Amino acid sequence: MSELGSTLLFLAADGLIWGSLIALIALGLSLIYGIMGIINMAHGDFFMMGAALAVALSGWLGAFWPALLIAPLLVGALALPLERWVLRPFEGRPLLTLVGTIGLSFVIQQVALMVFGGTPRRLEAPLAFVVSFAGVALPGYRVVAAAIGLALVAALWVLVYRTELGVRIRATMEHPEIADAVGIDTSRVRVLTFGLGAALAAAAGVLAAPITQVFYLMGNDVLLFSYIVVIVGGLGSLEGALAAALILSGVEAVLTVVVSPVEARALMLLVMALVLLVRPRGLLVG
Amino acid sequence: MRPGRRAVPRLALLGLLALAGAAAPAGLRSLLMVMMIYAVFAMAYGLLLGHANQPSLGQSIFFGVGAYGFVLPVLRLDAGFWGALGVAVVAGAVTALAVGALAVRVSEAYHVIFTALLASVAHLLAKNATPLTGGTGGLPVEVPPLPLGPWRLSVYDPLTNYLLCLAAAAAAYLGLRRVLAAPLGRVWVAIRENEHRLAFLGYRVYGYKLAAFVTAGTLTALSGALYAIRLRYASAEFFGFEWSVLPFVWGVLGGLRTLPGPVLGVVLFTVFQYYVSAWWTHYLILFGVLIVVILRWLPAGIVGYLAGQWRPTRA
Repeated sequence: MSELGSTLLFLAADGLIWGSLIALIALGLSLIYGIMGIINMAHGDFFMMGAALAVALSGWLGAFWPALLIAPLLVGALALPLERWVLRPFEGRPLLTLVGTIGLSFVIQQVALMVFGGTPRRLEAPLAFVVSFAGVALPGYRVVAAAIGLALVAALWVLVYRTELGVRIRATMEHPEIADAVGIDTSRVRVLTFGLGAALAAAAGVLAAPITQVFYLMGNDVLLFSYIVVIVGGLGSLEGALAAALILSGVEAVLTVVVSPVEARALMLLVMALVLLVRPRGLLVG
Repeated sequence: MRPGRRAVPRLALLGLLALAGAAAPAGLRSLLMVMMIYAVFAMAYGLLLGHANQPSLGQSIFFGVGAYGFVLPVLRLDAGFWGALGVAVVAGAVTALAVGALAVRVSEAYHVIFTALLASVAHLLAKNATPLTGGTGGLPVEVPPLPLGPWRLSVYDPLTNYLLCLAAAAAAYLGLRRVLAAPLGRVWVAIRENEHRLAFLGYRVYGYKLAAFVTAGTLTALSGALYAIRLRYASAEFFGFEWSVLPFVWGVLGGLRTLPGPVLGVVLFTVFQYYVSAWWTHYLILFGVLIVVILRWLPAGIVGYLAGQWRPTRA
């Protein structure tokens, strides 16, 4: 295979890995917006908490993988009361939730800075093997991380479309009043969905910790991209968000062949801003 | 309210602030100066969100354009003080016209994200275009002397710099007050209250919203230029996300529906930033809590509450 071809393949694979992680974040955002009308500016910080916890837990336990279970549980448990007792009064009024979650974001970031310090950290990849595919060598951890990410997306799909809780979630999203009237505890659904979204972002953070810099402001970088994904995929559409995450991350990665990574990101953002104007309901929905 | 009735207390306040600049110790004067620069920014945002209902999260674009609009003509074209300030303000207006022409078409969450996207692009490009902007490191500038009638003043004299900022803040306040009392201002308030009804009445809502966007962008650029003048420096970080978040925070704290509201927000935040940060590095924690508390119990902001203008926000 030509050198350009293998470079492209490598970058596309890398884009796919980030795409699956961004999808986890974006799906949570989309569910939270769909059910509660919250523009969650603190969602990137749940991702950051996942990554920071992965670093801390790896240090204490001497192993990486337990963090993948513990961190999402911790972050999810922390998010439950936030929805019920802090954000509930603002729900349905996107602007208030925007400002309120900026406040939350300040708090979370500063606490993280206090506990973990301000120096960016890197976590050793817990898997050392290399996957060779069509002449391209991919670090094994990245492939596994992408697979776990996609598996979690699949698990979320099963939860939302094939379980009773999923029925309640979708009912609350479609018609909160009717859901309430037929006996669904919509308050509980809201709390659980918010916790679930936070846990998914934290899981993405754990998976991202070995392949990026862990830093208390790292959530800000993924947040905007995740919002783009949510919008391009169509607000509230899970399949749309997944497809958009994979496609956009892949396109951005491949673009870096031609332009610098910064220019690639700027170009993507600009194109997405224009998409927002032309197709505010999303590119991938009818 | 007749315009003349409150002229005396206002002039007294202006005189008091001018005196404070002369009498206050350097630290306090510098703090007041920052507040005045922010006040211009904050009032512009009060106009944009509190009156014309456009929740832009991209005001850093105009702040950065204003700063570089002043610094670059001085460095590259050897422009004089007023010339450079003029370029900064015009550049802000033109950028706001271009951004606003598109941003005004989308509302609510979409407006937030559209403007945030553009600001993010501006930040990335400014960081990247090091030869032009100096990147994150920035460009230092020697501010040219400030000719005013027969005098040649210099902002290197702290009092002159202070009075310059005071004049800008006072002019912005009085100018905005005048506009808000005029029919244009009434239409903006009507847009906030019910945009669709206004459209049914035959008003061209798009044009009025764009006018608010450009006015706010222009004032924000003025604020950015003053900030660069005070620091004798501009950097790509002037386009950073925090400069888009700050006006939100000021407005929410003080209240967005009045002119003094955002200014009070600025005073509170700045005092917080300077004094609380002295004894607690992580003062933003307290600040985040304060935002949520005010949002919950004083949704019209502190000034809105004090003015007795509170009414339940509609969902």
